[in-house]
Amino acid sequence: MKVVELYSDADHQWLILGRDPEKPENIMDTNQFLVLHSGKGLLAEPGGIELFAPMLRSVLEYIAVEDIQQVFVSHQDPDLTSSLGLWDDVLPNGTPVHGPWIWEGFLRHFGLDHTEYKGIPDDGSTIAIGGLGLQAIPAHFCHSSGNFQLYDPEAKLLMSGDMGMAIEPGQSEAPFFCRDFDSHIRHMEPLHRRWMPSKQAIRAWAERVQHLDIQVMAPQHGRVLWGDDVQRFLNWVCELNVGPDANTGD
Amino acid sequence: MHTRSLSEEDTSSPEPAKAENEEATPHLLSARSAADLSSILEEILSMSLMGLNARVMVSKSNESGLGLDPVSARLNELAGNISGLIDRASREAVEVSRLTYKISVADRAHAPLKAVLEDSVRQTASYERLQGLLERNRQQVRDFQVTLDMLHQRMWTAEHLAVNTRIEASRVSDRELRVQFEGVAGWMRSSVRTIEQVLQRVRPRLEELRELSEKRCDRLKENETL
Repeated sequence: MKVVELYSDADHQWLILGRDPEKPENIMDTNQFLVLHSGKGLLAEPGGIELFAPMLRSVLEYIAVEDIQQVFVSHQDPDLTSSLGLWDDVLPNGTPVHGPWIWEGFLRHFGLDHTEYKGIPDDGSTIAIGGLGLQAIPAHFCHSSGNFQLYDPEAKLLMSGDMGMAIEPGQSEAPFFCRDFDSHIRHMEPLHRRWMPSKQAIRAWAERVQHLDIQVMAPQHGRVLWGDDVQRFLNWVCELNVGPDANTGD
Repeated sequence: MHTRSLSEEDTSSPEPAKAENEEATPHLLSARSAADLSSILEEILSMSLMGLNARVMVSKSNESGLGLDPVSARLNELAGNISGLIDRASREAVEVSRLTYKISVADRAHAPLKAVLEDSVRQTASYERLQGLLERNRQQVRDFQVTLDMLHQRMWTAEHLAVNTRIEASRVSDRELRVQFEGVAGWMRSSVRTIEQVLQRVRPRLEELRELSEKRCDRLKENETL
């Protein structure tokens, strides 16, 4: 499992974990995140069952399990949630798992006996970690009907879930950062056309995040966008025909 | 749920347990046992109905049938008792299945932690949880065993009741009543055989579950690789 720093300032860090070289070939590559602040941690998009062991090993290099105070899941997909039942067995009693309220009854099927599911209301919420306030930003229908992204106003970082996702050949070897937005589009486009529901939903989301100061946009699959590429992405995705309109030109 | 009529009764000998259990995981073993036990609940319900029917017949009969009254009352009581025990055993088997599955998940979570933390893993929440689950499972397997022992005793009682029913029936002058009670006695014996066959299938699985449960508790205590 590779670990790369997305942001670091004194006692505040964002780490992206992924590109596991030992991951089985037929499992989609995913990005997991660890937010550290004042010695406490938040695990975002903890990943699937197959990634649990390498994830745990990597996370323990940065923080003790007892200091992981929060877990965040953007939506219900198994590639980011199916390890929840395993994390449940190692995290301290009562560790909150923040996720969309509508998915609680579904995600509890993974067996949440020791952790505590905290449903995020539709309008979003603030998740505190070591004195830092992370914002759960609504991104409903992009692509899940109950969907949140995580924004860190100090780091100016948006963990964007499946918005901005990409899959490219040799993904396990691909760099974490996007260096050429135009050539990266071809890796993002098919996924957004298929997985995003409508321009209306995308534009509602874009309007919401437009006013945020975002320097880094980190999706759950593919490369991290940064600097001006964040705005380029917003402009591009708002004009993309997606879902039922993907092939109509409407 | 599978139900069976008397005419469909399986009279074949119990399947060889070893071949069946060779590749089975603990939660599969106990789930199979729960399913087998549930499948005979219908049989017991029929026994209960037969007991009620017998009581009605006795109450309508003349004095010649009065000797059958205590037999039919005992049959009724025994059917309810056996039904309760089978239901309990089935639920206990499901609980063992649930616990053993949870143990396998907890094992999977605990193993990578142990690989990194080595000696200090005993101080983690996952170690305590695994220990707790293993203890609960060990107790649940014991409870399951006790219930099966009680069921076996009731089968012995039912076998004797069937013999008594036949004897009492032979003393009744009313031919229709005698034939009815001889039928009840025959049906009881056949039910007992069916239930015993299921118990014979479940017992070796239970023994395997018990051994596995004890071994895992010992291994965790010795802090060996799970």
